[in-house]
Amino acid sequence: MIRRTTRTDEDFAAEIEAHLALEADQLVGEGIDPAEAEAAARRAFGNRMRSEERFYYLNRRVWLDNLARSARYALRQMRLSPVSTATIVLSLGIGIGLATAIFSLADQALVRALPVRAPAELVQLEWRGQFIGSGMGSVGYGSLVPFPLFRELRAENEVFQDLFARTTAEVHVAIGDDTEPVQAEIVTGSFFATLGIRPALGRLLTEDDDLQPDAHPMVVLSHDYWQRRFGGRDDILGRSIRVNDHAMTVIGVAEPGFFGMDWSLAPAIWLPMMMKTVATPGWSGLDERRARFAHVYARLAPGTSSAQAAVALEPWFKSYLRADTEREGWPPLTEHQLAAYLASDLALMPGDHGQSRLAPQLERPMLILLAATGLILLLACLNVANLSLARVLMARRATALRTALGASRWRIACEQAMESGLLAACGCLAGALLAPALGRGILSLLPQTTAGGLALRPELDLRVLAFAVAVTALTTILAGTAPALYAASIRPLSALKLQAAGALGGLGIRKLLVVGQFALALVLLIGAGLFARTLGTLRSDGPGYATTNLLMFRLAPRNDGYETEATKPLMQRVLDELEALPEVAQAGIGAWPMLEGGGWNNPLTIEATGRVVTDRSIPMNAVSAGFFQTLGIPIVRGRDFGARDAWDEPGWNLRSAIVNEELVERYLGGMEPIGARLDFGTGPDADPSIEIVGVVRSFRDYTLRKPEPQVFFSLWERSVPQATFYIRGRSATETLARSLRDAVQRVDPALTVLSLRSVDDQLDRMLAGERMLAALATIFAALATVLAMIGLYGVLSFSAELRAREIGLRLALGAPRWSAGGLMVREAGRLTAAGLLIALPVSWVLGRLVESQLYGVGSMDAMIVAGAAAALAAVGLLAAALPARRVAALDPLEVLRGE
Amino acid sequence: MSTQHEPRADTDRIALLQGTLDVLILRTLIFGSQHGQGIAREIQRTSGEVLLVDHGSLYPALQRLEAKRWIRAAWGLSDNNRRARFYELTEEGREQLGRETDRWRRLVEAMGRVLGLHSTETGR
Repeated sequence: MIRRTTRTDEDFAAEIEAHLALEADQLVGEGIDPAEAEAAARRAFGNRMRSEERFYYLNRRVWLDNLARSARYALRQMRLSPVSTATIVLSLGIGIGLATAIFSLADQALVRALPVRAPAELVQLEWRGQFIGSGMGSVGYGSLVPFPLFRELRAENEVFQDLFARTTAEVHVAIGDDTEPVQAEIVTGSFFATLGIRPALGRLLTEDDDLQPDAHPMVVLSHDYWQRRFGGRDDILGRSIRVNDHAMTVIGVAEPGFFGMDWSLAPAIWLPMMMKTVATPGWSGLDERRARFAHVYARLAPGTSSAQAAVALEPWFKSYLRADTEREGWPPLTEHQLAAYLASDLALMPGDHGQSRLAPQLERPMLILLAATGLILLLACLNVANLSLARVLMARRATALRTALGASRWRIACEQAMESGLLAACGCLAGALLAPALGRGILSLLPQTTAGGLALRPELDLRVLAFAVAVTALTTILAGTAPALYAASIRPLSALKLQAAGALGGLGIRKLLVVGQFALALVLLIGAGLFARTLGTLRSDGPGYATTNLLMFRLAPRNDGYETEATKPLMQRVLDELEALPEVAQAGIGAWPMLEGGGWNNPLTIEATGRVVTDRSIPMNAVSAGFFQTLGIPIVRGRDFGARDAWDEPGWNLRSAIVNEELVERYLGGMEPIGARLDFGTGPDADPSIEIVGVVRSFRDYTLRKPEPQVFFSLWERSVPQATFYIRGRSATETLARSLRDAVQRVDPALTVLSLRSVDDQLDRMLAGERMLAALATIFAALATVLAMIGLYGVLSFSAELRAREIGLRLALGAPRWSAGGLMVREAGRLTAAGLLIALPVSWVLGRLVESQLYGVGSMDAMIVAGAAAALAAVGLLAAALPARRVAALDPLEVLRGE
Repeated sequence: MSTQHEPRADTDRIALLQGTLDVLILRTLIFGSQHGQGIAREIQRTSGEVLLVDHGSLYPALQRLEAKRWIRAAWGLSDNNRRARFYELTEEGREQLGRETDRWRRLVEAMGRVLGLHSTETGR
C-alpha cells in the first residue's frame, strides 16, 4: 500500500525461509541432529512473526493502512447485505436530497446576496420621517422616493461611488401579432454600470441612453427571456419589438443569472428611465416631487461605511427638504407637520439583497419546511442506525472472535464508524443527484405572480454542496455512534455463546430507536393533518361569496395603445357586450383584481357624527354597478352604485362610496354610516367630502383568513387605465371562457385579454403557499410512516428470532398458537404506545410554533391527533403481522431441537 | 550454537544495537558479499554472543542500511546451492564504514583516557 521500498512481504518471507534453511544446514554441519537442527535454527532466529511485522510496518504509515483496510472491510460488508445497504442509502439519499433542495431554495430566497459586483457595498435609500404627498395620505416613510430627489442627489453627489434608481411595471410585449404580459424594470442609465453587469450579447444601457424623455426607444432583454421567447438567437440584436404598442429596439441581452433587484419579480426587459411613459402610460412622474415611485440604490465609496455615508448625506438632505418647502406648489401645512417633514432623514439600508416582496411572506413557511426536513433527516438517521445495529447484531459472533483475538475496541468502533461514513457518503451522492429534481418539484408548488417569474433555480452550487456534506457528516455521527459503541462493547464470552442474552443490549437500543421513529412519524402526521385541514377549510370557506361559474379576466387598454379618455367608454362597451351574451347571468367590473393579496389602499379620515381617522391603510377598489350583484354580495344598508354615480370628464371626481360591515364595526362604532363622509389621508387638512351611500356585507379579499375593512368607489367616477371583469355564468363554464374572449375581440381585436380564469383558479393560486406546506407535510409524513414501519418490522423480526426458544417452549407446554402471535402484537403495541407518549408533548410544543400558519383548526385538534394516532397504531399492527404469523407457525420441536 | 542469555528488554536491545549493529554489518561485509545468516553468525562469533541475541533482529538493521543505500542486495546461490539474498557494500557504504570506524576509535580512546584504562596509576 503506502510504502517506499519496492520489496514485497513475500520476498522477505522467502529471505527468512532461506535464513532458517542455511542456519539449519550449518547446525547439521556442526554436528546437531537434522530434526533438532530446524527447531534450533528457529530458536536462534527468534520471533519470526515480529520480524515480519516490523518489515511490514517499515516505511508504512500505519494509520493510513488501517484506514484502507477498514474501508475494504466496510465495502465488503455493504456488498454482503445489498437490501439493507440499498434501504439505508435510499433513506439517507431522500433525507439529504430534500434538505439540500430546500436549503438551496431558502438560500437563494432569503440569504444569498444579489449576483452583482461587490454586493456588500450596495445600500438602499430609505426616507425616514414624514413625506408630504400630493393630497393622498402621507404615511410617510419607506424606500420609495420622488425622482427629482434622485436626480439632484446624483448631480451633487460627493458621497457615493455612484447611484441608480429603478421601478417596475407590467407591460405588454408584442412580436408580430403575439402579445404577452411581462414584467419590466425601468432603470436609470447608471444601473448596469454601478452593478457591474456585463452583456451576454450586444450592449447594455448606459448614461447616454437616458438623457431626454422619450428619446431612447431601446430595451435590454434578460437572459432567460431571450432564451424563452426568442430561442437564444443572435439575430435578436437590432430587432424591433412593441412594448405597450411602442416600437423599441433590442440593443442587447444581460448576462445569465442576473435578474434585476427583485428575485420574486424577475423582469423580462429593462427600459431607460427616460422611457418611463412607455411602461406607465399617461404618467411619467419624473418631475413630480409630491409623488414617489423610485427605489434608489447607491454603491459606497471604497473605505466608507454606510454610517459615514449617512452622516455625510445629512446636510445635503436637509437643504433639499428646506428648498422643497420654498418651491411653488408646496401645500399649506401645520407647524407640526412642517416640523415633522424637516426632521426626516435618509437612512441607508443594506442593499445586497435587493428588493423582494415575497421574502417576508416565504420566511415562515421556509423555516417550517427546513424544520420538517430536519425531522425527516433525523428519522432517516434513526432508521439507518437501526439497520446498522441489525448488521452489527448479525455479525456479533465474528466481532466477538476478533475481540478475543486481540482487536482493540477502538479499532472495532472505528471500523463500524467507517462503514457508517461510507454509507452516508453514498447517501450524500444519492441526495446530490436527487436534489435538483426535488427542488423542481418544490418550486412548482410555490406561489407564482402573474407576469414576473421567480428567479429561483433548483440548482446546486458550492455552498449548497458544502451544506450537503455537512449534513452527511452530521448523519454519520448520529446514525453511526450507536452501532459503533455497541459493536465495541461486544464481550467475547457472552456473544460466542449461542444465547440470546448477548444481543439484548443491542435489541434494547434498536427498540429505543423505533420508539423515536414512531414519535417523529406521529409528529409529522399531526403536522400534515393540520396543514391539510387548514388548506381544506380555507378553500371551502372561500372568500365569503359563491365562486361557482364565476370567471374573471383583466384588460389594460393603456398598454394596448389607448389614450386615457378612450378607456372608460371602451370598458363600458365591453361590459355591455358581455352582458348581452346569453350564457352570462351577470357581469361587473373592479378596477383592481381581487384575491391577489394586495392592491390599492390608503388611510382615511371619516366624518360621521364624530371625526374618525383610521389607524392604517384601508383596502379600496372602484367598482361598477353590477359588481356586488355579480359576486352575490348583499347590500345590507343604503344602495348600490347607479347611473348617477358617473363622471364623464377625464380625471377623477369621487363623490360616492360604499363601505363594508367590517369598516363600520371597527371604526364607526355606533355612528350612522349612511351619509357620513370620507377623504383620503390622516392629516388635519383632510376634507371629507365623499359620501357613503351604502354598506355591503363583508367578504375576504387581501387575505382569506379574516375580513378587513373595505371601501368601494364608483368605477365611473375615476379614470380606468385597466380593470378586471367578473362574470357569473348561467351554467358550467367550458364554452363561457371562449365566448368572453370572442366578445372582447368583437369590441376591439387589438385588446389583449389577460389572466382569463375562474375565480376558483385564482383562489387556488392565492393558496399556493398553504398548498405547498400541506403537500410537503403529507409527503414527509408518508415517508416517516414507511420508515417507522420498516424499523418496527426489523426489530420485531429480530426479537422473534431471539425469543424463538422461549416461544417454542410455550407452544410445547400447550399455549394456543394465537397467543404466540399475540406476543409480537403486544410488543408492537408497547413500542407504538411509547412513541405516541413521547410525540404528544413534542407535538404540542411544535404546534405552538406553527400556529400562525393554521386556520380553522387548533394546533392540537383532537380529531387530527386521534386520527394520526390511529393511523400509526394500524401501521404498527401491519408491521407486526408478518413476524406474528411466523412466530405462530413455529414448530416447537424444531426450535427446541435446534439448541 | 548460540547460547541464550537472559532476554533483555526490547527497548534496551534496540538502543544498544542501533549504532553498533549497523557498523558491525558494514564491517562484516568488507570481506565480500554475504547473506543474512552468514552475517549473523559472523557477528555472533566476533562479538562473543554479546551483541546479537536472535538473528531476526538483524533484519531491521539490514533493511535500514539498504534504504540508506550503504549496502545493496540481490538473490543468489550459496555454497551449498541454497537460494539466499546476498548483501554487499556500496561505495558510500565503504566510506560510511571508514567514518564510523574512526568515530568508534576516537570514542574508545577518549573513554579509555577518562576511565583510566591505559594509565598505570590503578596498578591493574
